[in-house]
Amino acid sequence: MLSRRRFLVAGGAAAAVPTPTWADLGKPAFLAAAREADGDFALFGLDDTGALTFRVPLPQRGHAAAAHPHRAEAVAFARRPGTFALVIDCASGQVLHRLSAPEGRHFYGHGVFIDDGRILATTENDFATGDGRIGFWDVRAGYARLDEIPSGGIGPHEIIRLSDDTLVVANGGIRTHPDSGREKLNIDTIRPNLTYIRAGQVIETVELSDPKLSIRHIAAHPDGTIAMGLQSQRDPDAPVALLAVHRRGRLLRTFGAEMSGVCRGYVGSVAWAGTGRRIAITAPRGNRAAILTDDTFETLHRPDICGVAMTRSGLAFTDGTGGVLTDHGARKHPVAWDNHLVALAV
Amino acid sequence: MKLFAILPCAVAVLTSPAVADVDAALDRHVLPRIDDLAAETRALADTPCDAGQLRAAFDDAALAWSAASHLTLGPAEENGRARAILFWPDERDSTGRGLRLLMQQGADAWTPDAIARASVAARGLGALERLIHEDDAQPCALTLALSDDLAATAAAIRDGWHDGFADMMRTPGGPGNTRFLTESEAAAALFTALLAGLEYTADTRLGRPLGTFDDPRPARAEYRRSGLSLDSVQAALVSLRELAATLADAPRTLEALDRAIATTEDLDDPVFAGVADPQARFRVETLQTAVREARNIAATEIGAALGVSAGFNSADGD
Repeated sequence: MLSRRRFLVAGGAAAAVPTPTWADLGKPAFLAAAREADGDFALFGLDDTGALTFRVPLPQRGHAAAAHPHRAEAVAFARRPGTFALVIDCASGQVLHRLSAPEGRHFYGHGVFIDDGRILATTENDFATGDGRIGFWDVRAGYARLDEIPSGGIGPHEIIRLSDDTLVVANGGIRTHPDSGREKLNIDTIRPNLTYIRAGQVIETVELSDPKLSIRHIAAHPDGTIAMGLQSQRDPDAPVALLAVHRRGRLLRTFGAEMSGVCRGYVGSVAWAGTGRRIAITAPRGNRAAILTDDTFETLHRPDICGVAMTRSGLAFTDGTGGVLTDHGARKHPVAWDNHLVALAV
Repeated sequence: MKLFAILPCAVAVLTSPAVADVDAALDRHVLPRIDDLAAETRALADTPCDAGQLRAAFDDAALAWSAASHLTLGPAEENGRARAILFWPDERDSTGRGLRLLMQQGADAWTPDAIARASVAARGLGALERLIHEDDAQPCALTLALSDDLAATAAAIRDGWHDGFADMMRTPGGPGNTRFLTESEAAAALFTALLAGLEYTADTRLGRPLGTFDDPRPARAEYRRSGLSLDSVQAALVSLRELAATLADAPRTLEALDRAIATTEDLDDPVFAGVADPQARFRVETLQTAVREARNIAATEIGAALGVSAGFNSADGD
């Protein structure tokens, strides 16, 4: 169990070494992985206008990245069921550390820094039992494995933190085993949930009324309200919710059933807007994003749109044709942006 | 990776306007087909309540939609307009149920406002096909109300194209135009419509009645009540050939589409009733294969030139 004391011990383990900060890199606002025109993969920094600030090569296609809150370090996760993650110095492009999932575990593609950047938390699969796990890694000890705890469900995918370091985990509910790749092994019995974890203890778990909606991607409003992007395991034409919203101790609400057909029941990413109470979901299979204000969705059409992130004044989007839409306008780069756009601290 | 291997030469071709001519596709295909849909549905709405005259007008309107149904981008996808023009496939006979409800509700429910609020399945060409081809257009007032509603939907699609959407495709990257950032994006959107139209024709218009060898489903054919199932496939293919010819310099695609169109001319099975008979079924399958071949050739020939690599994220499934 990861206690507060363990956090402090981990934090004090190494001496302070000057390392590049995000400011040294021209203050990128976002990180995003992409496939380049020649077929190579790379991780990019983008500023708030969508211009590129840095590029570091990746050995293969990634999924999401976790950005250190201070150091110009990013952890790029392999696509599930990958067993490695790379800690990259975004200033030099060097791979500082290579995280290998412990025996019997693989990564799910997402992670988050907590304890002011001293601990990295990663979603993992204990594939012998199918139990979801959260792995903890000690940043100052060269990302040594510290500990692990149950994720509170099966198939934990995105993990985020609230301002008090409560971890929020999207347990997608879908069991897979590396021997059968991404094959879904338990579609008839899946029970996804959203789990809140504080100091290693599950403090609240919520489920949707429809268990066939996999909770895969989540985003937190500063007040702690969680937006969940859903992926239907039903017929893509079946009307199902695409977005769920939950705040601890309150009732869960769902939205978007009227759009699920055109979105093929599949949400790729979710983000809160930086101002107001707007939520964006992306639907790459519907070539559109939908932005919820109160109870009404506004549609944004872009081919293969998937990445979305909060900005200071609103939202930014990336798509598989190289488009970047920000509050400052649109740009196009000769790359295919991968699933997620990761906002650096704003 | 393979997709990009062919890019270096493709990029060079892209500079030639003949490869992706959005203006030509809009002026010589999209807008005329959309105008035609609006005109034919208006003509149907203006036809007096005579079953014979209505049948002829219905057939023209139905085939005008077959020739425009691939143009789902933009105005037709807004407010569910495409579904309001033709609710098909109709797995659970929603059109039959919706129409019965409208009849029970009586003339008060047949005003333009009430029809526009009715179940989408009870509106459009599917409902009109039943009334006009099966019920001698009775009750007359309902037939006229539904055809008026259909014409209004088609007019809204026409106006949407003329009053903004076509210009948006012609001026990519303009102020506020996030939908089309570059000319190749507008071309790619039309190319996607071409492929989707061919896939829909092969998988749905032909695939639904074909079902499987052990379970053929002739009663699932589009427009079987009006006898237009094969005509609809032919109208769609002729229109998709027109799109391919105006959008790109794609001789192999046009040859493949010509082969598919010739197959429709040889097929003497207007509503695909033969899908349950092994011999006749083979001929429908041959047509389906020809359409799929045309789709694959278009994907290679035109897609490579446009540098379109579909589905980096949509196919990822994570």
